[in-house]
Order: sequence, then C-alpha cells, then structure tokens
Amino acid sequence: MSGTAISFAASEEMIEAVKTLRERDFNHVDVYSPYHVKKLEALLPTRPSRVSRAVFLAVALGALAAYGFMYWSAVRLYPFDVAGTPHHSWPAFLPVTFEFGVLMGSITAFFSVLFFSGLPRYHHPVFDIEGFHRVTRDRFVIVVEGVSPTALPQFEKGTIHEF
Amino acid sequence: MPPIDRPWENTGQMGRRRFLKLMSTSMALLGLSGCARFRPPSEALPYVRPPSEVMPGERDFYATTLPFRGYGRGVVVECVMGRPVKVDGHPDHPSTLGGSDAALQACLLELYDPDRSQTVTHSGKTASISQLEAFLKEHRPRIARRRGEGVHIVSPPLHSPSLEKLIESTLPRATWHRVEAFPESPVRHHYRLEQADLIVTLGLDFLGNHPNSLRLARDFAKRRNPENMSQIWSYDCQPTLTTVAADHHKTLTPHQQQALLQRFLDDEPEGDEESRLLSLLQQKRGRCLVMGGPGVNSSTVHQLNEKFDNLGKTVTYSLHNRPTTSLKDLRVALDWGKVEWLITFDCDPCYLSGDTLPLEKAANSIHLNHRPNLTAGKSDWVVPGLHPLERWGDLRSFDGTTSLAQPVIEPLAGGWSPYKLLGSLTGAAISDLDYVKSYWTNLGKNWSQALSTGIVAQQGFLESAFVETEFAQPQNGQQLAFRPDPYLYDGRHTNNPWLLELPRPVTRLAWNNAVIVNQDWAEDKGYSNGDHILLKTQQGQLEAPVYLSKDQALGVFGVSVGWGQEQAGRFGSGRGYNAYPLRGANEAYFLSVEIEKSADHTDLISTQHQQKMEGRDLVRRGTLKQWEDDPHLDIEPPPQESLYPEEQETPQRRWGMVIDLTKCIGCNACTAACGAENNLAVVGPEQTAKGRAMHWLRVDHYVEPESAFQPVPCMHCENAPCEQVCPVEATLHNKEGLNQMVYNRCVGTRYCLNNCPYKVRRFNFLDYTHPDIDEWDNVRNPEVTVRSRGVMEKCTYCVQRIEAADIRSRIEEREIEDGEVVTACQAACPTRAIVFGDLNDPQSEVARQAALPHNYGLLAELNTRPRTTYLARISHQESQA
Amino acid sequence: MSSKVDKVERHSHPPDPVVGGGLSGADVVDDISAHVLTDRLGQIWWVALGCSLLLLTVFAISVAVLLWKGVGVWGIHDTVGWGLAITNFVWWIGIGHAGTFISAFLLLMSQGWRTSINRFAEGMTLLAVACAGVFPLLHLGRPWLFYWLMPYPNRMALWPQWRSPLIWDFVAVSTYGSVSLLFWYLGLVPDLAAVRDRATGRKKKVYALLCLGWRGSAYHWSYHQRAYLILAALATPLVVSVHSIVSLDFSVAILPGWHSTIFPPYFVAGAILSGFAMVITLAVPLRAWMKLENYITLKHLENSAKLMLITSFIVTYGYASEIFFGWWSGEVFHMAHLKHLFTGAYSPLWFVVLLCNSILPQLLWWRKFRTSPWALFWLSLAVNVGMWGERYIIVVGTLYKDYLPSAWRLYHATIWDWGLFLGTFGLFGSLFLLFIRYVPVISIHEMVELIKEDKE
Repeated sequence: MSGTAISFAASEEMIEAVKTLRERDFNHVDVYSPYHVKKLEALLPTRPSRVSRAVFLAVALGALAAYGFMYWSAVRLYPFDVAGTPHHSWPAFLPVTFEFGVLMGSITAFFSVLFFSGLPRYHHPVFDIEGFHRVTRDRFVIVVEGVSPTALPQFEKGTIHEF
Repeated sequence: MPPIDRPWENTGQMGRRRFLKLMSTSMALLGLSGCARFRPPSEALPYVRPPSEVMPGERDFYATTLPFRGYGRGVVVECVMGRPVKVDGHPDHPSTLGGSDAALQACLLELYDPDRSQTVTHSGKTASISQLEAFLKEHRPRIARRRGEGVHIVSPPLHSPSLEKLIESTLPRATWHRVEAFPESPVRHHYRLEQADLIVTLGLDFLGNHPNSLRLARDFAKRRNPENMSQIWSYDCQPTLTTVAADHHKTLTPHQQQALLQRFLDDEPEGDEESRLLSLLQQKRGRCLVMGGPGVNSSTVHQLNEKFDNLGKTVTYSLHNRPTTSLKDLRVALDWGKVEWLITFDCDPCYLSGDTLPLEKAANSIHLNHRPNLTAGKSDWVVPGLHPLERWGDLRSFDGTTSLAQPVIEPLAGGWSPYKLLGSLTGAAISDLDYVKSYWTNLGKNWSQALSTGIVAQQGFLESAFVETEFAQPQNGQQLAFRPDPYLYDGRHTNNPWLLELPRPVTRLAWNNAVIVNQDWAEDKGYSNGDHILLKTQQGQLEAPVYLSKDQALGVFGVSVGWGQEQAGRFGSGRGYNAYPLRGANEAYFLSVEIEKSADHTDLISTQHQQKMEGRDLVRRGTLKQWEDDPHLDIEPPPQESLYPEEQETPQRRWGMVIDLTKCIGCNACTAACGAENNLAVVGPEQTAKGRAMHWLRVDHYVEPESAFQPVPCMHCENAPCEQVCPVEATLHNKEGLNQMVYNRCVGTRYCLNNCPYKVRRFNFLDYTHPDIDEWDNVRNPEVTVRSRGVMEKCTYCVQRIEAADIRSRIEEREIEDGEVVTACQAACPTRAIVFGDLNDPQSEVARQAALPHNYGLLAELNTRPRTTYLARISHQESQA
Repeated sequence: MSSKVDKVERHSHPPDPVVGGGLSGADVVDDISAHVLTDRLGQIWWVALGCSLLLLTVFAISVAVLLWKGVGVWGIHDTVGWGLAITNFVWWIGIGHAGTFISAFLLLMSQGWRTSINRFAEGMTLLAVACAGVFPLLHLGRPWLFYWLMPYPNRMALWPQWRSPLIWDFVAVSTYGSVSLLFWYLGLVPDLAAVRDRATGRKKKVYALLCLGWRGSAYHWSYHQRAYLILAALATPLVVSVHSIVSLDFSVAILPGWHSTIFPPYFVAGAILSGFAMVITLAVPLRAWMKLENYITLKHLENSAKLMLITSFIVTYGYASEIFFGWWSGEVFHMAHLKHLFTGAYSPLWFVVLLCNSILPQLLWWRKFRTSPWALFWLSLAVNVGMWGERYIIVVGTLYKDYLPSAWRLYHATIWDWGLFLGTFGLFGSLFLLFIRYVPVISIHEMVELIKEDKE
C-alpha cells in the first residue's frame, strides 16, 4: 500500500480538504482523527448502519433463540411440574428472553466494530507516516491511497507526506 | 475378636511369637466376624404375620418387649440385613397398640451408642471376663451357703416373672432394692378412659408422664372426636401434655389441688366454675373419672370416685406384689455396713440419689449396665450389660399382659444379662434363653407362637380393693416440683442425641433443661429466660437458668431431672443441670425451697423462640357447641384464583395427610419417628442453638392465645412456593403430587427455604453426617439417602414407603390399599392423630377427613393449596363465647 | 467555554465549567496519558495498594474457610436462609449501576458533562459487579456446582428451571457484567491507542496490543460511535432491568416485606442512589489526589448530587408506598411486618436507613452543600451505609419474622460473614488502584471532542 498523507492541525481545514478531494473524485480517501468528526459521515462513504443491522438481527435472534430454547427444554424436552404452573409459563420466560437478546446484541455490537474495521490489526502501513502518532492527539490526517503527492491538488495548509 | 475379652492386656510383654499368634487369630476371626456380626440369634423368631399397619419391604420384623418404668411395652423391631433399623409399637400389644413415644423411637441409638460399656473393669482398670469369673467362683460357696444373705440387689422395678423366680429361688435371703426416681403408688390405678365422659385430673399428667401413657393416650384419643367427645378438666401446678390437651385447665398448687378435692368431697364448691364441674360430675355418675397426681392424697381421690360411683366402671385397682423400695433404705443398709455383695444392674442409684450413697462401704460391688454412669464409676466390678434389644426375657405390662423379649441382634459389645450375673452368684449360669424357656415350660409347643407374636398371655393383674397409703401433704410455701425429663426420663437416656436434640414438648428446649417458673413472678423479679436463680434445699443447692411459663403455679418451681451427668458419654455429659442433689436419697415430688437471685445467665437452647400466635389463625379452634351449630366453624374456603389456566390433568393418586389437632397431644413421638426413619442428622447443641436442628416435622407449641400443639410437616403444596424459586429443579412435583427434594441436584441456594411460608425445609449448613461415629452407620435406613453438606432436605411423606408399596402392588397386580402406606410419624402417633393416604380415593380415611367441614389448610389463604391439612381443635368449653 | 447544560441554568451564579483550567485537547491527551505512563501517584498509591492487598488476604481466608467448612460458618439458619451475603450482593450490584447509568443513559440524553466521570464510573461498575458476583456464587451450599445454573447438556438431561427468579438473576447479572465490560472496553480502545502513541518501549507494545490496532480512521470512528450509541441504547434498559430482576428475587417470593410490586422501580432508584453516592465517595478523594479538578469539576459533583436527591425521593416514595399499602391491605401478616419494621429487633437500623437515605439527602437542596466536595463526600458515605442497611432490612428484616411465629428467630452475622464483606473491599480496592494507575481514568477522546465542541 502506498499513497499520500496530508496532515492538518485543525479539523475545519481537514474537512475543506476532504470536500475538495471528494469533489475531484478521489475515492480511496480516509481520514485519521483524534475523535469522531461527525461532518465526515456525509463526506466519506461510511456505512455505520451495518452495525445497526447486525445488532438488530442479533437481538432478535438472541431473544428468539432464548425463548425457543426455554420452550423446547421446559415443554418438549423435559417437562416437569413446578409450583402448579403450566409447563409453558410464558411470563416467567420473558426476563431471560430480554437479557439474552441484549447480551447477543451487545456482543455483536462490539465485535461488528472490530469486524467492519478490520481490527484487531497490530500494524498498518499508515503507522509509518511521519508524525502519525499525533493523530491520537491533535492532528487530522487525510490519506489518499495509491496516489502520489503530485497528483493531488494543492492545499493552503497541511503537511504532505508520501509513503 | 470380641472387645470384652482382651487377654493380652494384663500380660505385660508381648513377644514376637505372641504377636504373630494374635495377628493370625485376628485375621481368621475377621473373616468370621464379617458374616457373624449383624444377625439376630438363630433362636429368635420373626414376626410371622407382619402387622397390618407396618409396611414390610425387604425386611424382617421381630416382636419383642422393652422395659419402661418396670413394665413391658410390646414393640416390633424392623431389621435390614440383620441389623435393627426401626422400632415401633406392637400393634396387637395392649401396652402400645402400635403407638410410640420419643424414647421408644430413639432406643436404637442407645443400642448403637459408641460410648457403650465394652469391657469388664475392676477398680477402674480393665479386667478380663475370666478374672470376673474367678472372683465369682471364689465367692460362690459363701453366697450359696448364706442363701443370699448379705447380697443386696439394686435394680429398677421389674415386672419380670422369670427374673423374680430366679432371685427367689437362688437368693431367697437377698435384699432386693427396686429403686425408682418417681415411684408409683403401691396401688396401681387402671383407668378406662373410653368409658369416661368427664375426666378430672389433679396433677396427673396421664398423657405424658405415666407408666401406661401410650395406652392412656390411645384411649383418650378414642373419645376426642366431636361426635362422641369426653371432656377433660385439669388442675396442675405446671404445664404438661395433659394440661395442654385439656378442655379446661387451671393452674393450682398441690396444696390447692388437695383443697379442691376436699371441697368436692364436702359438696362445698367455690365459685361458678367449681359448681359447674361438681354438677357435671353428679350428672355423669359412673361415667366420670377423677385422677390424682403425686400432689394429692390418693385416698381423697378414691373417695371422690366412690362418691360418683366410678369404681369398677372407669377405674379399678390392683396391687404391686413387690412395691418400689426407697433409696433411703439402700443408703441405710450401706451405712450400717450390712452389704457384703452389692449387685446393681440397669440402674444408676448413685445418680438418682444425688450421689449420696456410700458405695465404698459395700464389701464387694458389681455393676452391670450397657452404659457408663456414676454407679459404674464407684463400683468394684463393672460388667458391660446387654441392651434390652439384645436380651431374652419376659415382662408384664401395666395391664398385666405378659410378653416375651427376644434379642433382635447378637450382642454388639458382648456383655452379660441380669440372668447371667445373678445366676453366676450361686452356680454356673445356664443361658438366658434356656432359663426363660424353662420358666415358660408350660407353654410347650406354643413357645414359638408366643415368641413370634411376642405375647404370652393376655391375663391382667388381679383386681383389688383400694388400699390406703401414707401421704404427706405438700406444704403451702415455695417448693420445687420434681419431674422426669419428657424424653430422658430419670436420666437413663442421657447419652442419646436424638432425645437430647428433640425439643421438649412444652418448653421447646433442646440439649439443656431449665427451672420452670411462674411468668408473672419472674417478670416481677426482673428475670427473663436463661437468667440464673439459686435454689436451696436442706439437701443441697443449685444454680440453674429459668424458663418462664404462664402455666406454672406461683411458688412452684419445676425442675426436671435426668440432666447434668458427668459420666454419661460424649453427648450427654455435662448437659444441663442436675437436680437430684437437691433432694438426695429421697423420692419426693415436692420439696420446699429457698430462692436467691444470681447474676449469671445462660442462653437457653430452644428450637422455638416465639410461642405467641401473634393474632394469626394458625391453630383454628372451636367449641363443641360452635361445631354443633355449624361444623364449618369460621373456616373460609381458600382462594382459587390463578394467573394461569387450571391444569386439567388429574393424576392417578394424590397423596395427602390430615392431622387432627383435637387428638394431637404434642408428645413429639412423630418427630422422633421421622428422625429414625429418615436418617435425620444430629447437629449438636451449638448448631441447634443457631437454629439449624434438622427435624423435618416439628410440633409447634403456642401458649397464646391458648396453649396448643401443632405438628408441622411439609405441606406438599399444590402451588409450592419452594418449587417456583429453585433454579435447578432440585425440588419439584411428581406425578402423584409429592413435593420432592432431589438431593444430588441441589446446589444450596436456600431460596426454597426462604420462600416456604411454613419454614419446614432444613439445610445442611455443615457436614452433619458424623463420619467419625462408625456405630451410627448401622442405625441408618438403607432406603433413605444420607444428605451431604450444602443440600436442602425436608419431609418426603416417607416416599420410600410409598415406593415400596407401589412396587409391591404392581407385582401383585392390584391397587395400593388404603392404609397400606403408613408414614413414620403416622405409625408412631400414639393418638392416631395423623392420617395419610390417597386423596383421590373417595373411600380412603384421609379423603373422608379432608372433606370434613372443620378441615382447614394452614395459611391456605396464600393459595399454596397445602396437601397436609388440619382438623380444627374442637374443645368442650361451653361457657366460652 | 460553556456547555449546553450551563446555558439552561437559570440561576444568577456563574456556571461551573465542565472542563476547567482552559485546557486544550492536546493538554488533555498529554495529561491523562502521563497519568498512565509515569508514576504520578507516588508512594500513597503503594500504601493504598498494600492496605487493599491486606484486605484481599482477609477475603482469601474468608473464602478458604467457607469452602472448607461450608456456609455453616456464617450466621444463617433455617429461618433466615440469606443473610449478609445476599445483602452485600444487592448492595454491590446497586453500586454497580451508576457507571453504566452515567455512560449509557446520560449519553442517550446528550448530557455532555458525563464525559469526564464516565470512565472511572464504568470501572467502578465493573469492579462492583465483580464484587457482587462473588456472593451469590459463594453463598451456595455447594458452590463448586454453580454451573448447574447454566444451560449445558448433561447426563441428567436437565436444563435450568426457567421459572426461578434466580435464573433470571443469574442471566441478568452475567449479561450486565458482560455488557458493561464490552461497553467499557469499546470506549477505552481509542484511549488505549492514544496512550500507545505516547508510550515507548515495552509499554508501547502492551498498549498497542490492548488497543487492538486502533488507527482513528473515519470508518473506525463511524462504526465505533454507532456501536457505542447502540450499546448505550441496549445498556440503558439493561441497567433498569438488572436491579429490577434482582428485586424480583424478593418480590416473586410470597413473604410479607418481599412480595411487593413497587420493588423493581424502588430497587432501581436505590441502585442509582447508591451508585452516585459511590461515585462521589470515590471521585472526591480521587480528584484531589490525582489533581483531576479540571476534569471532575464542581459541575459534575453538583449534577451527581442532584441525581442523588431525585433518587432519594424515589426511594423514600418506595418506603412510603410499602408502608401505605401494608397498612391499606389490613392483612395481618403485612401489618405485623410493618410493626416489626418500626419496633422489631432491627428497627434501630431501619431508623438509620431513613436518616441516611431520606432525611440527610435533603441537605442537597442547598447549592452550597452541593458544591462542597467534602460535605458531599461525607453525605455519600452516609448514603452508602444507609443503602447497605436498607438491603439488610429487606433481606434479614423480612426473613426473621415471616408467617409462622414458631419459626421466628434472630440473625447474628459471624466473623466470617463480616470477613468476606470486608474482603470484597480489598478486591475492589486492589483492582481499582490498578485501574487508576494503568488505564486512562478520563475518557480522552470524548474529552477532546467535548473541548472541541465547546469551542465551536
């Protein structure tokens, strides 16, 4: 992997630059920032709803599985009489159904972040960019993949690195 | 190798050859003992026809007779693989009619007592049997020559024809002391409670403290149903089973009791109540009965019964051919140095006399007993004795019926019987069996029949006229009232942890005793339960904790004996206080006393801390009149609402239990029987004090609003709150509606216990199995799991008996009959207050009783739908609104 | 530099800032990272850790004795089957509610001020849940069989008894623990990356592993923030459900004093009250010690105090409704329960509970009190004691006198009961000290974002 990185000290400048790049049809653009810059959601083709869909599915399946399992084990597999209640005592099955749905949803939420982000990954070429460690502090770095610095438009601010 | 004979112990050195010899013998005997130890002797005969109410499994039943206050009580012993595991009353024997009391149920634990006497000792040192035999051989000519003169035999009163004959024939000049802590009056009173519509008792606890109490309780119970109900008026100075069971009870000191009798005799009643009673007595001439206890003159009682034409109708008399002798006589004989040979067996005269007997003044003393005690410690020779379940013999019961005793197991610790010891004094002893058999030669071929049924002859004691006896009226001042412990009696059962841990019926104390004092007096003086007082009599003084009771007469201090022994063994030694030294060699029931305050306090160990009902409708009551007006009393049908649809499935059988509170006398035999049947663990005094006693069935005693007993087993609720909350299915319903506890599934959350409104569940907080006491392995019922640490347990309705009946009925391709399954508590109940069976069988007794209008479920308003229900306590009080 | 919260303040006094000292984002990153990477805490930290380890030894001994002998070493008996252990469980789990409540609920409510306290509140939550989890496990008669509460194929072909509240409880608490851990860790990943980028040598490698290779890409952030929001959305009902389900352990039972429909909301409010009390108990000394006054400002303490006041009212309402409905039912058992509450053996503790949970929090009406850290600290301690007492009253005060007076019996905790309770403070303290030493105690990326937003 190779490309060009442009480092900014201010997010506004970075956003302007991203806008310019997107207008000029640079597709492989990524931005590294110390925090979540909400305006980038509209500029870059991020798809956070993938997480939402996965979690929704997990919650539904988890809850269904929990209820189904309880029904199967308590009514079909090994029914027994307890406290004069019917085998299918549905109100008593609800807490576990809810909890298990939430548990599955949460696990899915966590791991879908990792999965969609391609993490965990110990090393990545962008780490080689000079001063990249300041991304977690006070720098905003635009990386345009597969493009040399000369092919990029000029920006007023920002430091350019090739890697 | 029999532990009694240890020939090497006095030989000093043990060489190599001797060691090898002993080792090889041991190994050889080891193989033998494996098959020989647990079996009844071959001559013993099993009960051929199993008693109708007892459930046989793969078990043998033997009928035998056990001594109780000198009389025989017929029992049936259940043996598994040759070892006795359960004792119940003999259903056909008039002394028990199948009922039990706690001591009877617990007697097996004394058979298997790890502290039983095991070796012959001489002057406190281990000796051998041969040394004892040599000693006897040396003295035999002289004893025989003097025809027993100088021999003093000390035993409890024993109505054993063959033993009496043995002593008479071989030692005619011997002095026989029949000592007893609470001697009977020389005139034996035979009550016919079924015939009496009205019973007035003055200080006689005929239900709890009488040689014939099991039979009296049964007869009493026959008239405790509202259709045909007798009424009981009781006057006593302390709370007893009888005072709780009575329809009318008033606390009176012995002095007041005697005065009341006199007023009745003179037709001068004081107050409305007395007038009413007197007119009732007059109405019920010939159908009433006046009973007198130790505090009143039996002559006055006799005169009253005569006055109301009861003689020969509700009471008859017979005479003791050998009345009890006094401890004082024994002391005098010892003091005068007249005792050359002192033979004591089956009793502890030193303890009974408050350690005032100078045993050292007897030239030779031999003590025979199966348990260690104070007398053993003071005797020259101590011979290990046989437990009554290991003996041949014969005994007459209170009504005169003679029955045979046969061993149900070979002696566990070796030992001698009284026959052998007494026989050895004058000649080479023949075996016990041969002796008893030779006495009963007239039985001839019927011997086997008599042995297997246990009963020789139903012939009663000879009826006699009343004989006046000396009576010293108790004084009117502050006095002690001596009473045997309800379970330990005079102290003979003190090393029995089942009995120690069983709460006393009235006080609910376990593992300790207390002085029962009048509640108002104590509160006035600032005493509360467990505070010490100092009791001073002429003979001695004692500091003891108090227990407050509103039913204790003012000025009368109730002390129970049987406690505070030092040599009893690992369980009983040092428990409670010993009251005998307060009266010395004296069988007095009452003794004047001075009371002083003491600053000390003992936390009394009790299984029930709260005896007030707190305004809750737990023991439902009604008077006979109310019942006649409306048999439903005030019982409302419990709620039936449910969030869930009703289950349509009807199981084939629905086991259930009904407990009749009108009949229950609170004796706790059911609890003891439950323990014996279900391997209930003994937890010890510390754990009992912490509230961890393991009784699956407890008999609650409430004193407010009115004194009453209530046995509480598991209710086997249809909507069991315990089942709902168990996370691991350790407790659930089976198809027949039993609320089951699966021990090996239990993880011990104790949630079921918390959610049980009846608090009948018991948890193994620690390991209570006593793996260190090997002897206890024998008493365990092999059909019932021994519970490990960390699991919950509770009443199972004796599911092992239900299963056995189920298997048997299926083999025989029939239904289980009503009455075929009998729970342990039901079998033991002397008043038959407990009924068990199939509620789905409309013909069954339990279904009939469950449908009675005055049947109610405890806390049924919680919609638990208990299977165990109660019949309300109906009493004869007419004046009460 | 004023937050949205400040803008709606209607009082005339100058608003307290959410972030003090005019710090820039870079300052925050450097400052917080330095807490982790350099030994700023000094000797006091070691002394505190030593004390905690000492208590942890008490914990170990208490557990060993318990496992060796059985639960009989405690004071429980056949009337009071649950004693100190369950009291402690409910108390700890209650404390463990504040963290997720702050993180999740306040995140959903866009309460920006939550940012500087959420991380350490979440840490507190996790450790409190761990401490809580110790008790139901160890209070079992046969703790080595605890896994029977889980569904797993076994020889007996049995599955858990789904109708038991203990199963719900087991599932709820383990779900809560897992979700809290995931939520905490997900929030922590970018911060661990920030520490990695400040660190050198072996520490850098360790943090590089822990941060899972976080790069701060816009795509990462997009997934991360969405997942974080969803987790918050899931965790919020979870927070409510956990203590509700814990309360069902009691209210599903039929005992007077337990069987009450007010229990779920009342327990949740109690949990949040005790949780915020614990946040203040920890935050006040911590901000002084770690010099975090610029992050954990008076604003935070005051807001926490306001929440305490509100939840104290809800809890008081719970008390009142229990008393009212007990009286209203006129039922002999409930009436007796109320009588025992006010006159029984444990009534002194009940009055302490009322004092600590209902009366003393009224001091929070005064702004001066709300903004005096050490006054708040002492009040929060009182509330902690009060909430523990409340649970004791609920557990023991109900069980010792229920339906049949014949079974009534007092409960006396033994030295091993107290030993285990004390020991969990060792567990909590040790882990908490490790946490504040090696994990960014303030959420770095959220702080930076907050400062940025404030500037805009």
